Amino acid sequence: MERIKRWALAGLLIVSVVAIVGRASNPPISSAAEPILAVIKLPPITGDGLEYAMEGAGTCMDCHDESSDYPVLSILKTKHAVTADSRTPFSGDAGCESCHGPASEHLDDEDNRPSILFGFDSATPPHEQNEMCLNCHEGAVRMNWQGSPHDSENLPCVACHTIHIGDKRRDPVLTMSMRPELWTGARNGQAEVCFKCHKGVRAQMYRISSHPMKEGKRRCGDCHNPHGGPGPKQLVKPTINETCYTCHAEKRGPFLWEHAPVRESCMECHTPHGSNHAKLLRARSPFLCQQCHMAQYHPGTAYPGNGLPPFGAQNKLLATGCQNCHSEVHGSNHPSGVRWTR
Amino acid sequence: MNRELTTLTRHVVRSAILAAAATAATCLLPSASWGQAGTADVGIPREFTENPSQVEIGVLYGTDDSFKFGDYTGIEDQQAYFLGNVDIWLRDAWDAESARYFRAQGQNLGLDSRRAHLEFGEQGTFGVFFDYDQLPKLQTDSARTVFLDPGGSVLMLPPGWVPSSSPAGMTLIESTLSDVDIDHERRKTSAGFNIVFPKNFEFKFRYDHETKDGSKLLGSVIGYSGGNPRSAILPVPIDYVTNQFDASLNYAGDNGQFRIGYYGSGFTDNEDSLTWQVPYTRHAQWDITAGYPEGLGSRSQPPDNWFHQVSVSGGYNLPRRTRATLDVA
Repeated sequence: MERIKRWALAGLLIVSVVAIVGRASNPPISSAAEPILAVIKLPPITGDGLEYAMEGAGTCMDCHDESSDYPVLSILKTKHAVTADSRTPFSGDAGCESCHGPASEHLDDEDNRPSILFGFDSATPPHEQNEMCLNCHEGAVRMNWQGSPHDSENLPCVACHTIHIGDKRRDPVLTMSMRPELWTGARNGQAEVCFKCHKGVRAQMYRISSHPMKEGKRRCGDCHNPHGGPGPKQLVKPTINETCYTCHAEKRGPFLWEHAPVRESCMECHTPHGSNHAKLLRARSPFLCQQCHMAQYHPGTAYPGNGLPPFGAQNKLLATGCQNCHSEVHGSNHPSGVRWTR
Repeated sequence: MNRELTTLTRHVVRSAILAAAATAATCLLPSASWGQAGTADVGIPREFTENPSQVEIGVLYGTDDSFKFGDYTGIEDQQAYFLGNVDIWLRDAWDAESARYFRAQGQNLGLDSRRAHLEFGEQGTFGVFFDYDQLPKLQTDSARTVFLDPGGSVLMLPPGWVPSSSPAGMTLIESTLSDVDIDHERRKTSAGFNIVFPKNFEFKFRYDHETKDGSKLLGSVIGYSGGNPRSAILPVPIDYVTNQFDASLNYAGDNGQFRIGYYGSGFTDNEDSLTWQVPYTRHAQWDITAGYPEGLGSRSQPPDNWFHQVSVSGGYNLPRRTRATLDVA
């Protein structure tokens, strides 16, 4: 393991040095150099008389400055506006038209809007808006966007993403913390964007047992890929358990004595967004365990409240309930671990 | 008092190291070339085209001791904490002939929940990042135990222990209990890079190294399950190391995309097993050596494991808003 770690770090450093030296010894790329990626795919001309102005972003910004009704200057702070990157909309003469479509008539009359306008209440249908984004961004983790739950809900990309960032430092959905007091350079974090719709999850997050979301140490994207995926719940990994194991690898086993629901799904017992029971459990032990274990003798015995002090001291109710003895519920490799007590 | 001083010293030292690293990294920048001016003259003020760097330094004071308040935040003691946040952001102008960028971030530098992030590269060509993240999980500071060396892998009882068939008869419990904090801390170090190749190809690599140290409470049993078990809740050590590798080659064309990836995850538990001295008198059905003082209970710890996954994903856009996708892992 140590050897792998050293090789990985050494490899990373070598690549970094090679990349830096390579850049230092070669002239910087420019918009005139051979493009690394294909030229930006422009939106089709869909109406009679529409034409691309092809005058660059500067022409648009002459009117759309910060005093206008539709200020756009803040896009110059973002990656989309970097002209030296041949993949960006601003690397060519189309500029703003790369995303908003042909706008030659808009230059003559401001009421002749560009063909692609973004937003929830836009006249442009969401799938047409999204097509503009997917022209460049459909690879990697967004490969499963089409047909995903958010796509099926007809959400435009700008429902979550802020392209013209205004006075923000970057697109809020890409930032980490949601706590202004734990300063991150952004007042809104990714979770706040998700919670605009997923309000129930926000409420769950404030229960006594939760992942460190409200502390700004984990974000929704650590577990979920909102652009869709091959598995359930738009998770970053193909299965629920594989997603959990990215942080909780000790639960992966292999175990001689396996506990069937653990192999099946962590969510059989845990609710990941928050719980009022310890360890994000769906219910308190022994009642959680008794949803499956109803055999005679102590597993199937009903344990009422009079087993608690001052009325009683039932050891199946006190402390960690069934886990006072059956603490290896995730699996055991002990020779006597058949009932997960060791 | 000693503990508070040690904690404060630890905070200051860690914060100083991180702040020094961030400062050193910033100083290493060839400032004349980073921040290259643009070529177009469109008369746009800089505040609309650049994100300014920010540094926040202050003092935070916890007004009371609260273990629970420190859970995930690191603010658990009545003491002063260094408050440090940094966001240094440099890049060439949006219309410059190069697209180099550098960003150094530090959050909560004076707390155990600190995070530091460094990234640099040239947009559209390559990018490199380093990340450090610390996360304290504080369970309880009111636990007490009779076992010596709580948090160790061998838990023995104090000399002269008086065993019994139930805790009510263990007369030395009150006088031998000692405080034990049940908590653990994650420390994750990550690094990675991406390289953009011609013809719409991109290679990405990420490596994560995470340690998890501390203790947890686990019920442990001696005797036969279902017959005559006796249990004790033990402070069990946590000493985990997890390494993760994620590499992928991505292609994104006009209509077709694919991704070939490898994900590897290796888990190591530096504690193989836990042994504990049985505080109970021998039950009539137990082995003759199972009760106090000869009786030693043992339990397994999570096993080391490796997970390898090779995956191929692809998608192709067909007419009429139809898309074919493939995922094999």
